[in-house]
Amino acid sequence: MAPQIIIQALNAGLALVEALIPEVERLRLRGEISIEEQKRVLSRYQSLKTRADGQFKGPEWQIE
Amino acid sequence: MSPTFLTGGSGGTGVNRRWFHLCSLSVLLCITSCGTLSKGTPDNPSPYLGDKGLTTDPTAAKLLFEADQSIVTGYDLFKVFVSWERNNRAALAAIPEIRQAADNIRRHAEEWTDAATRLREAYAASPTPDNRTALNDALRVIRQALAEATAHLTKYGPANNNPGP
Repeated sequence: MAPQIIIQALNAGLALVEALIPEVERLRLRGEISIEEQKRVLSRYQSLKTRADGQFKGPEWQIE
Repeated sequence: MSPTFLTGGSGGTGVNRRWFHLCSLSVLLCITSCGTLSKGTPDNPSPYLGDKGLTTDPTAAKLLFEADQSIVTGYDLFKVFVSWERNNRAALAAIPEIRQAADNIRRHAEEWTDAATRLREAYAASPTPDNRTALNDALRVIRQALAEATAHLTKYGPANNNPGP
């Protein structure tokens, strides 16, 4: 195979990878749990742990 | 049976909103459980993963996040279920297993939550395999109760056309 054809094939391959990088990055980010979501969950966990919002105290929790 | 059979005294809007929240929470749990934790940036780091988070181990960080999420989502869904049962108690009298399930949750949900919280804290302090197993066992108890509550809500709740007993 002529060296020029190999170089052209490599260039085409590199161009393809380059074109796909943003899409791969987009898919990676879509599967990530954001910092805001992590903070929200941790804050709610800490509230529940300390019963900061009166959890388990309403009338719906009473056995009648 | 009236279409408002399971809506309680607050009217359909409130129940529909609660039902929407229930579904949203379930979907959120499924979606976020599949993802990985973002590490964030130096200015806005992850509270779970990294030098400023609970641990630098991604596996441990993910379990801690999932534990917190299961504990808070569990509380939310338990509350939806016991509120729904209380608001519709007369209409649900012919299905005694719902009252039994609700009372079981009223009796034990706080204890399940506290047990999972204790084991979550233990795992955060010392992420050993034994602590991991114990935490997963505690979360399984919550998830099993949630499955029962969700089954009742799915079968008799306001989002279906089941006319009820």
